[in-house]
Amino acid sequence: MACSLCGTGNGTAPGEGAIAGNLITVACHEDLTGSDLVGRYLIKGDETVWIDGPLTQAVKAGAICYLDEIVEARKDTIVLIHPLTDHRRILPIDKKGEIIEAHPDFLLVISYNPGYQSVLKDLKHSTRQRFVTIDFDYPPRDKEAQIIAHESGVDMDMALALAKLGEKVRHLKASGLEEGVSTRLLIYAGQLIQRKLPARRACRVAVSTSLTDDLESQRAIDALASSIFE
Amino acid sequence: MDSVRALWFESHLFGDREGRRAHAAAERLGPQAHTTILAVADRLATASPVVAQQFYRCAWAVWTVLGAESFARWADLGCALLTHDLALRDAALAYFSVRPRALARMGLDRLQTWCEAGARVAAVSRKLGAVFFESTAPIIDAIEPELLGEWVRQGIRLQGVGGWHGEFIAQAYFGAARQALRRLRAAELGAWAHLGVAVQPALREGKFFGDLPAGLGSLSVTDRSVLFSTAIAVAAVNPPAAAMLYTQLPGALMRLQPIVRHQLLRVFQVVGALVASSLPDIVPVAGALVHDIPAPRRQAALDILLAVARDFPAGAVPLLRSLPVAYEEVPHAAVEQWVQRGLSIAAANEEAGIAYFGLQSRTSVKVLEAASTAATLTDVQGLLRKYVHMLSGQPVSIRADDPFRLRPPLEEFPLENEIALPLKIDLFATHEDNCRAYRFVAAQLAGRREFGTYDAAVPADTGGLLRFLRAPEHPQLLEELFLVAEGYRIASALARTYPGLLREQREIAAGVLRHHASEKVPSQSVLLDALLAALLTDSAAITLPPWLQPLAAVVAPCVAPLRDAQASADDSLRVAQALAAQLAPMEQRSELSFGDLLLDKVAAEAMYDPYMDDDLAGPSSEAPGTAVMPELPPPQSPPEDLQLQLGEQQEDAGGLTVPLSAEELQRLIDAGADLRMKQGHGDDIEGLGLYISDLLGKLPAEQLEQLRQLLNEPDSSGRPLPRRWLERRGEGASFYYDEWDFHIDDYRQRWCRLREIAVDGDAGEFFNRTLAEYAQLIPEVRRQFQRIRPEMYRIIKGLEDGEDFDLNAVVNARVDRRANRAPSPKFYVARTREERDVATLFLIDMSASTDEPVHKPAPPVYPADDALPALDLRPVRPAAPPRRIIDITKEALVVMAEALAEIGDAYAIYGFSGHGRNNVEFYLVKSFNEPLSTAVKGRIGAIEPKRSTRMGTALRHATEKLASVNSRSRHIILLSDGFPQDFDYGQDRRSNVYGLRDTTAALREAEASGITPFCITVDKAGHDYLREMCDGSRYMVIEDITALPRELPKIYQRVVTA
Repeated sequence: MACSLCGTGNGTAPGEGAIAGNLITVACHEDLTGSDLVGRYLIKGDETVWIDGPLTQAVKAGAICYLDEIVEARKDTIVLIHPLTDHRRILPIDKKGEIIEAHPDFLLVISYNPGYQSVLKDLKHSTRQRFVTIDFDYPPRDKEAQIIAHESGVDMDMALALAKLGEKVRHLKASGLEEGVSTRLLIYAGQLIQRKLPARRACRVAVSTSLTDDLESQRAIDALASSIFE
Repeated sequence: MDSVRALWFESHLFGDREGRRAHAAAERLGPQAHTTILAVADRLATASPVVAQQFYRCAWAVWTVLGAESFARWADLGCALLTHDLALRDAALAYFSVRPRALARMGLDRLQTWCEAGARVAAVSRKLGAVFFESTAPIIDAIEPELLGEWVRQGIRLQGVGGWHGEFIAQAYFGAARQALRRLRAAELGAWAHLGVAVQPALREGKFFGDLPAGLGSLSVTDRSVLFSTAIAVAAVNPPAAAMLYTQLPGALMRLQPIVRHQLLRVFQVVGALVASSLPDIVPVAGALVHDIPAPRRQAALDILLAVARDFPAGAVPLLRSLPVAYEEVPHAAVEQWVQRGLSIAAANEEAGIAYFGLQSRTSVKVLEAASTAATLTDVQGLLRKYVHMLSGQPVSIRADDPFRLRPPLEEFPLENEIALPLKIDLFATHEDNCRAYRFVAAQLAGRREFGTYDAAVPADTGGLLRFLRAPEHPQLLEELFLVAEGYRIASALARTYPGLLREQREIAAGVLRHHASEKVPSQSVLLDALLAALLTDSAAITLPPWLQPLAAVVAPCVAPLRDAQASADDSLRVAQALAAQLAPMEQRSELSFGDLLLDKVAAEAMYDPYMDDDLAGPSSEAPGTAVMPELPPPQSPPEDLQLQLGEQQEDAGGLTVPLSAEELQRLIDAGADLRMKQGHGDDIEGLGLYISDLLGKLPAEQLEQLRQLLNEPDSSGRPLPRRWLERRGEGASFYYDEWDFHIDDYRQRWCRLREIAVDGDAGEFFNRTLAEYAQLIPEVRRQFQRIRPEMYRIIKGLEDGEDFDLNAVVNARVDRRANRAPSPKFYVARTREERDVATLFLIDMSASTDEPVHKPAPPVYPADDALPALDLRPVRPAAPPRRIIDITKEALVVMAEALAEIGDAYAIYGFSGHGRNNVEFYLVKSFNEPLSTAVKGRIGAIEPKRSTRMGTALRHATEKLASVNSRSRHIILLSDGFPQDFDYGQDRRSNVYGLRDTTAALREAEASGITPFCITVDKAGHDYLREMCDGSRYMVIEDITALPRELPKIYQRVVTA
């Protein structure tokens, strides 16, 4: 389970660990049903054909199944993964009356961003406690600067300044901002700067206006950017 | 005849020198003339020898000037006065005192007219006649007949006014001839005399007629007649106001141009009688207010004022007060628009109009500000709050502080997370630049937190950095110089950390310097601001004003090491102390006299003397109280090595937390110690190794003294001097809040001044005693609060999988199966953990009414007479003082504090009281950041009843306090014993409506800020007004006050939800 703040790289992490072509990603949403994961019968001509869902595919093939933003999915859907994620490692398919044993290489990865979603969308303990957890917090300034420099191509000084901006803006979390600025946004800002956009302008379009619609907060972040960048 | 002559002539007349001289002069006129003179005198002497003598003294001169023929007529006129039916002896005396030259100028015809006029007065009252002659005789040649006739006519008229008192009024009137007839014209006398009667008894006749007001003579005739008519009209409704108008307005108008003066008088003429009650406040300052309007705009401004006076008289006086501010803010066209808007508001609601023109309503201020280039705190505070929060990482609340300075004041209570920002900045030409100046100050304040200003090592018992700097033993300048040094250090650190700020700092500093450059003699505040600005600018790019150059030359090298990344607030403090020791006036340096001696010497001469300690007691006799030199070892190295550097405490000082005193410094220097003030990094830091004494040594002693004088000039910039601050020590910071006025349907802008006051606590006796008294209740409450913990989990039902069965759903599922229906699989429940993220502010009413005992003491029961012999003479233990409402409230707080320790909710406790809108008191008992320490326990015990209950302002401040708290759920619990009340809480003191409406507005503001207020009152009549103030679920009336300690935790559990 990748338990992370917004934009800190939980989405990238499974890919880093997976061999190319061995990763099946499902972006969860409110209308995601069990059938979407497990599979369904489709009418093909005059017969009905069973089509495996992504989860079933992964279970059979021994791939990594990555359920991104798991808390967005409905509760009854999430329950599907329970037999897969304990000692049984099985996937019951009710509609076919089958029980599939998971391939030894099968791996299930889920991710979610605690906090910013509503309390109702928190992950159930019965689900949580089936996973080992990797916490993705904002990296320390120097690490974040390295990430920004690597991803965006800006020099280290600029990356450090962007990381400082991120660190300062995150202070406003819960005091005007619902979520702190993500490393992803800082990378975007770095990429714009790398393409010769002035730093203050880049921060405005990539950070302040993306973070909030509140004009006052935007102006405060712009003021901070003006303070940090010459 | 000889016998008559004997009465007045030789024996008496020759007794004085003038008499002898008159006799000799008369004899020189010749025997015939002398005989004639003697004959007239004898004739007079039969009625009055004194008059005869007066006649004889001036007769020779009159003879000489007028000649024999006119002399006879002159003498006859005088004799006629004396031989008149009334025998006007005083009149005759005055007559013969008229100077001969005056007689020659005026001619005898006018003299006769005068006598006849006097006779008419005397016919009314003999005493009046005498006063008339005596007061007019010295100036009779200057009085035109027409003026004289009017003078007499008005005097006689006055005598008939008001019965017996008329005589006194007329006497005072005639007695004032000397001043009045020289300055007033005939046409004005009627109005003036009328006014004299009208202002009785507010201004007694002697005072009114005796002293013409200063400036009256400089008014034109037209202006005076406007003044008199206005004052008469005012006197009809309010004589004291009329008296004030008459006596003070001419003087107040003296500085103004005649045309402007006239316009202002016309305004008073229009509104005077209608606003009589407000005249005493406005009249003395009216001239100054108009003078404060920019000169080219005064006439236009007064045209506007006159127009308002005609359309809306009640608004004229407040408008006059506001005009200087309005013109300071915006151009003329915008003022016109602002006034037009005010007139339309006034047409709908007179009260609102008055508040509008007085710049007291929020609408008024907003309309005016909309046209201004100034940046106001209201505009930028939301942005700056976030900006400072981001920079420093701590949430802050903002309070207003005036005026704008590059060196914002230090906070007395830094833990409260408050920052002071100027109410307005109007220093630069554009709004954007003014906003940048705000950002400069905000960055400084954030920098203080980020770079540890308040971490300066000061002795723990001084009560914080600010109190340490203001300690009586320190020079006044210390705080100011610390602000300069620390401001420089912070600015350097900010520029290092936030490179974008460097250019902004330089531009703002250069702007400040340009703004102050034109000043010839700057105030202390301006000087020190300019000094910091000079330190922050690129010195090559700007020329410093001449008065700043020597100071900047001295201070710049001293503060240069503070640029280093390792420099701390302690270093700034040391630099400030070293500078203050040199630059403070002599009497304030007594504590540092020893150091002064050294440094003065260094400054003056010692640079040439390598062993300067040899003659320390020598020529510097100006240093008072020169101590006996301690015997110290001779210096081990020449003074070239004496380095007063920044940084490292001496190793042997062992965790020294007290800055070096001058004496210590002296000893160390004498001992040859290398005083490096830089944490051991001296060698690689540019700018280190500077000698403060070297720097001062470059200045001639006279220039040094000039610097001292300049720096210690009394400050006229409006900033309270440090000593005056000291007098009000402990009163804490001031905050201004708007107040809702339902009469004007608007907020009154900055209407109430709230002061934060630290509560001096007891030693915790009350807290511990209460714990003992409630020994049974507290464990019970704790258990209750422990039970809240499970509530931190929210149970979600109807799940297909979960931690437990939902028994109802399971039963339903079984029923469905038995009935052969498909059962729902959703019969699980799960618990979702909810973090408690709660902050609650307890706001305690500390009004005087809480001093009431809870149970009225029973009246004493006296024993029956027959029981008297059984007097019990054993010592009786005095009864415990009755428990008061405030005691119960405090007990409830104690129980609450113990209970909250169980669940760890953040809470703060503040009290409020006050007296009047300018004196709302907010007592600091416990802030959110403080743990329940012994000090806090002591402060809870020390809560005592004070004065009134201005609830709205206190609620607004509490809301502001909570605004800087990061909690998902924020609550204010207001504990009071009655309705809001203060002596000026609304115009009608008997009505509580104003206070209730304002408090209602304050409660709504709190809700709008995402804070949930809850009111608890122990007033049994609380339902009557609380239901108007808030929703039924947001208040509770406790019928039995003694139940409060038991009830409060229950209420808390019910109300405060996460």
